[in-house]
Amino acid sequence: MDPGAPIDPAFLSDLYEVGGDELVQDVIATFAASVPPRADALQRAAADGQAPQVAAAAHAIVSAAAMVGLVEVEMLARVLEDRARGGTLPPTHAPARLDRAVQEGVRLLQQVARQLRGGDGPPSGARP
Amino acid sequence: MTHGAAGPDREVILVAEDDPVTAKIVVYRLSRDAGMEVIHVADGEAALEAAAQRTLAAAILDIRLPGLDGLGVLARLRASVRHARLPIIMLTSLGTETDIIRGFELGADDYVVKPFSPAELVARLHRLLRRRRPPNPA
Repeated sequence: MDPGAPIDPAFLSDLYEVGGDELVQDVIATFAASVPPRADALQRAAADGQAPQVAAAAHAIVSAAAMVGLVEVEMLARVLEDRARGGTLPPTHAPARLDRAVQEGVRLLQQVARQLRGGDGPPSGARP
Repeated sequence: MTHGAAGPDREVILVAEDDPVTAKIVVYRLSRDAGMEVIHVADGEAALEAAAQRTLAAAILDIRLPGLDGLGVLARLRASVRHARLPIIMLTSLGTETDIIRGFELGADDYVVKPFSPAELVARLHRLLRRRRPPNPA
């Protein structure tokens, strides 16, 4: 994996080896269906000043992102979770930045899936 | 929700995990790859209900479950004679060492930190299941 890359493609590669494209697509679809609503909920909770709800939403995003190798999303959400658990609301731009990273993450997952289907070997995970 | 075909020789594993992505990966590995019957629930109360209704071979509990959390489920299971020796693996996140220590104090057999290798989780589960089986007669 390239240092600083937003995704570690090894996670999807491992899934591909076990369950092929069907499993990879299923996992990506599950991520795309479950995580963006969490990012929306986090933005709303932050705007409403609800630190516990920010922490809960951020934690859910951390778990999902970590399991598919979305390093940047995981890191951004983890910072928000840690701060919110300490009772600190995120700066106003942070939830929106996480939301953009989540949307980009879905695109990156699909890109890695295409590379895996193409049989070009393990994707590099380089920043697009 | 139950995954994998039921059968007299198939071990039944309870997975309590509220993140759909993690649950999808774990359930796939256990049911399709390891040939186990998997009961997946997304909160602590449902985990206790499933444990009361089915004979389990093992349980995998996320610590941060909504409502009754994984540590609460663990404590309730260990308080019952039926589940006192049930192999239990806790799923946790980085930076939650106090949760891990609390889990061991409450009787967890093992823990795995997210992000984890699904293959490693299955290997740890098999190790625990082997320990609980009676030795083959010579």
